[in-house]
Amino acid sequence: MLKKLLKKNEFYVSVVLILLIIVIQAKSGQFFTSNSLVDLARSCILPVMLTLGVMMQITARSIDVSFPAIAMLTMYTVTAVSTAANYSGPAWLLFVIAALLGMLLGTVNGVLAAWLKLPTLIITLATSSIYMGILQGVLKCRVIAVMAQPLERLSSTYLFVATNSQTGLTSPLSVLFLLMLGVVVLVGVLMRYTMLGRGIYAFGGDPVSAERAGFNTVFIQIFVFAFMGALAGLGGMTRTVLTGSCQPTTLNGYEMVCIAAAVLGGTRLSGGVGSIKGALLGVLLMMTVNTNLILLGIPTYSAKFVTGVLIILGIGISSYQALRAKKKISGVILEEETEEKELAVR
Amino acid sequence: MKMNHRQLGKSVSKNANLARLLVIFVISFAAMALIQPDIFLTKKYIVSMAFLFPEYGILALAMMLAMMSGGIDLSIVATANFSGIVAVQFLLRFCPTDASGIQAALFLIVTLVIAVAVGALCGLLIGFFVGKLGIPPMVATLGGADLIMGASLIITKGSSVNGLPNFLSAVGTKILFGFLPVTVLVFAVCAITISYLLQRTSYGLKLRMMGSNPTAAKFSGLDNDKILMKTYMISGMLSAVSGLLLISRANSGRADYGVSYVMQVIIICVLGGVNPNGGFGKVSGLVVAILILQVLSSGFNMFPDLSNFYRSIIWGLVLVMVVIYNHISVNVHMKKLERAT
Amino acid sequence: MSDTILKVTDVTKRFGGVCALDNMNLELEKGEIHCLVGGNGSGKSTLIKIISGFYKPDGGTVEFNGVLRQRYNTMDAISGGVQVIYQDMSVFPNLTVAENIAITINKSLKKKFVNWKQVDKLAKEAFDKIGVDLPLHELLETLSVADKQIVAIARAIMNDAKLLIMDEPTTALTRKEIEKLFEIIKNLQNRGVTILFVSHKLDEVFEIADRFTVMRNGCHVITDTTENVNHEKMIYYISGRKLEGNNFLFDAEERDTPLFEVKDLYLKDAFEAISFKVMPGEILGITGLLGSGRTELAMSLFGLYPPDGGEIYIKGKHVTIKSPQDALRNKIAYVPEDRLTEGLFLLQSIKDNISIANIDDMRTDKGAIDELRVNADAAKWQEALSIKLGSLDDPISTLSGGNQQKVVLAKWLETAPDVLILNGPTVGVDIGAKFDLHEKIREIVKSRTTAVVIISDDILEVIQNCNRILVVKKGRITDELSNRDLDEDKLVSIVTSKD
Repeated sequence: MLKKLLKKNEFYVSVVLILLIIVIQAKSGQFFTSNSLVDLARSCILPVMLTLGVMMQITARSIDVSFPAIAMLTMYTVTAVSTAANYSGPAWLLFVIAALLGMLLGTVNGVLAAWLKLPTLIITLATSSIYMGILQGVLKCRVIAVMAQPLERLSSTYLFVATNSQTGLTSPLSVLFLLMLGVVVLVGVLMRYTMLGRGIYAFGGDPVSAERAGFNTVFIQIFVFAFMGALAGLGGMTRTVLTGSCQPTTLNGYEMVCIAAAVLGGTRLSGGVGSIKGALLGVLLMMTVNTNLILLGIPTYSAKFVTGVLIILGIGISSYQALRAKKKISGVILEEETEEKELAVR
Repeated sequence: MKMNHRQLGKSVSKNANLARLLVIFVISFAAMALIQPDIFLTKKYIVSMAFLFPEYGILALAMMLAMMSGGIDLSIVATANFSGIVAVQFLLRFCPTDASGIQAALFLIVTLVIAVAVGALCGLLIGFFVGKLGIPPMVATLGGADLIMGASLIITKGSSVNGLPNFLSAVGTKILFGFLPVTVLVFAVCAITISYLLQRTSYGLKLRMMGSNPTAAKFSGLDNDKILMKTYMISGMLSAVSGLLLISRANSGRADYGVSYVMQVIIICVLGGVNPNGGFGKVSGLVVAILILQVLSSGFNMFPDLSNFYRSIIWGLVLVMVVIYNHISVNVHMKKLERAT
Repeated sequence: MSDTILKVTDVTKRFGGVCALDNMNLELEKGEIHCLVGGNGSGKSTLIKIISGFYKPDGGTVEFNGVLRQRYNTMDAISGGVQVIYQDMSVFPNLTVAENIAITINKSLKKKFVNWKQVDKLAKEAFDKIGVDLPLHELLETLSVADKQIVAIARAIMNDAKLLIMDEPTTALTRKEIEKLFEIIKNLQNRGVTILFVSHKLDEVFEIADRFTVMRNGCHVITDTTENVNHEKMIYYISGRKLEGNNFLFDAEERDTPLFEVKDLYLKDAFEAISFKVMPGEILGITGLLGSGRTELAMSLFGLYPPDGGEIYIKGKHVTIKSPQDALRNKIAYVPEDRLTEGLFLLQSIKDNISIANIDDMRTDKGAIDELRVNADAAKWQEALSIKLGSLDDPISTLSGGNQQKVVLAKWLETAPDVLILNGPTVGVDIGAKFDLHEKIREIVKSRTTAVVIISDDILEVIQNCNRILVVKKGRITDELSNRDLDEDKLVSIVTSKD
């Protein structure tokens, strides 16, 4: 049992996480304060949503680096239009529109990948370039400091506000945390309890067998891209609401954060393996480091270095294990099989 | 008769990619020249075009090597900046700002050596991650980039490195014989070296074969780890050279210069005929691809009211179209060969 | 008279200019275990794909369960009760045993949601039907090949198979696992399932089949019960040639220095106490069942799994092999079992494939590759091995299996090896190329400067081409035989005996 546990990637990530928390608490005594925990929760809202999508992608043997561009493009479009039009309807409708727009853009990726069978990294690099070009060139995006009323209101809608009794610092937890939870539940149900989700795993495990088993593999491939696009749309709006203004280049480079979190969480780059638990742990680990840099005594400009070390360590260990396992000799039968290993033939 | 037809067919398909690229280049150049001949065809403008491409051109050579080994190197820009930053630390400490002549030349050489050494070390580190630890190249270079850029940030504390000796920026802007920028010369040297390395040395053959099928490479007695380390090391060294060019042009060093170059460089590689799965790639194709992009890019600068960002759209579209075209033509070519035998 | 479940009449199938099936006939009786036998290129796979509905025949008819087939597609065939288990088994390594069994069923039932209790129930039911028990929640990738096969069979049965076709199912199984598989097959037969079993391993055909059909060049050769033939006749039917008496016979001079000697070689979990000599002029054969350690021994000698103990001598000199680079440096060559993944760089040129192992020695003084020599040597091997190709610059993928194998041999001969180890050198190779390869190997030992070792489970190949044969079992050498007065039946019984 212990051996099985040691093989699981999630185990190592959990260990590192726990160690990290111990260090932070030891150094500053501030980790378990209410406001720092809320800050952590808040920082996880966006990456969780996006990383779950990335996890689904990688499980289906695709890589999508265009989702930040989709997020920014949809976020800007929806915000700009709604602000200019003095929109006064419900905020959630704007989110839905952004998701639909994102889904459309994601479908473009999906179609290119599935029908034309082009390598996904290259395709999404191209579409990322195109979408950013549209955003910055065609739409001539700019920062929108004051947004439409419903969005401004949403910015200040909180589930609760945590106050640190010692420092007096307050940390609000946006109501969008519920959105994040909703996404977690949705993806969880999708991947575990629907044939579509199982189809994603099947396709990731062996695309030919999935085809033979009757799965519509073209649809599956397009779906993961479309879904990622929808999540990106939601993510973009979430970012805008959380920061309180629309900054069109705010998610540059974010794909690396999410891919790293997914891979840290045990999602296999070769496909077929990826869990929600793992993805959540991966995000938690990265965000714990990011939000507690000050408490750890790490100057902000060292953050990137620390993230790099984390990624390499986390993945290095499991990669090296896999490498060692491949080198082991397993095919030779030296003795008669023991009772335990024998098949019980009735 | 049959023999000639086959030979002709063979040489055409082998160089088909290069021929196609040259056609695209000529068309682009002609188009730009026709649209605004009084701007485009001036010596000044052509020379100004030549200044910019060596920076990402050398990075493209670095990326090409990594791709040919069956991987990808997302850390080239990080290595470029880091090597440059470390190297100029030496300059800052020991070189007077107004150094010139022999003294400047000597300092320049030492700086170059330091930068290339640092680049090589970064490359070896990445090679270690990929080879000995077995981390997939995408992740290894992603994490590696964070590590290396992180190291740059620690040295620079997030700001730029200034106060560099004058001769450094002079190198970046110097023009020889009235038309040849030094940077282009540097690029040419790198390109010719890499081309030779790939086509004429045993390392080049080993790299191509390993990139095609690492298992068969192992079974043929090739030392895959050694080849990988060597490849990423050379990639790091090239990145370092590019880093110096970057610093020279900006007259300062920063941890985050050229971050947008990574994508451009991948686009150039794919456009230039490098197979992302490994095993195939030619410097000649790469060079033409670089020229095409530079022509298009500079072409846009002729229209000041046209935003720079349209460039991204065009490149994205070009990339998609190239990948589609490559895909189709490879299939057609293989079917032809199979029918012939 | 038992019913006929499958009737294939005068079926013809062409691919381009090649005729894969030529008026092929096959009749299967309900509940029989029938073996389809034939060499490479005999058309077995094509026939299977027509029966399974994957291909449509160009001529002829297929009748299943008395119903003449009108349309050809796999879904129809599956719903009719035809299930094929291919060599790759079409299983999902990243899913559990239970899910692997249930997933295709649920998919064909067009379910949208997953009920995990139902999945477990289906899996248990399937295992009951074939009389096996496997842990339901293990991931498939952790299972052995034999267990994966059992899962594939369980899945096929749950899909209501009436005719189960198995394509070379025993290729990767150990003796014990093969016995278990045969028990399952007999079990299925008792439940009324008809089994069509493709195999090229004759001893298995005799063991399990009621009747067999031999195919050659896409044609039907003979159908008979296994009682009416022996090995020799079977080989004659399959290859069309009588076993000529041109076995490679040789007696080594005991006084000569061995070209290659191994003493007490040991590798943990693989083999031990391996000692043998190869004298000048000899061809040594090493044979054994899968799992006996013979492949691991070959790979160890080449440095892929460096030995943990023992000594290796080449031409009397002691050498240490810790990596393939060491092996290459000591002039040991290894022609691997799986040429597609281990021996060839498919998309690269023939010329590059030939020169890659020796490339460091093919340079000019200035350090660059000597192009003239590369071209000349490649041309030399093309002629010496009669390799049929278009141009030396063409990719290897354009060559046939036999010619590809010749290129792999050329690659190693180019290094002028002192020791040449060939693992399964003629697997998947047509008769003509097989002959060429064996001829060439015999020629190599004439010079008495290269030690040649052939490792193979092709009994005929070993007897015909090796003057001395070692039998490996459970990691040890159990027998050393001369090929004089040795016939296939005798060797097979030695190899498969249980001591």
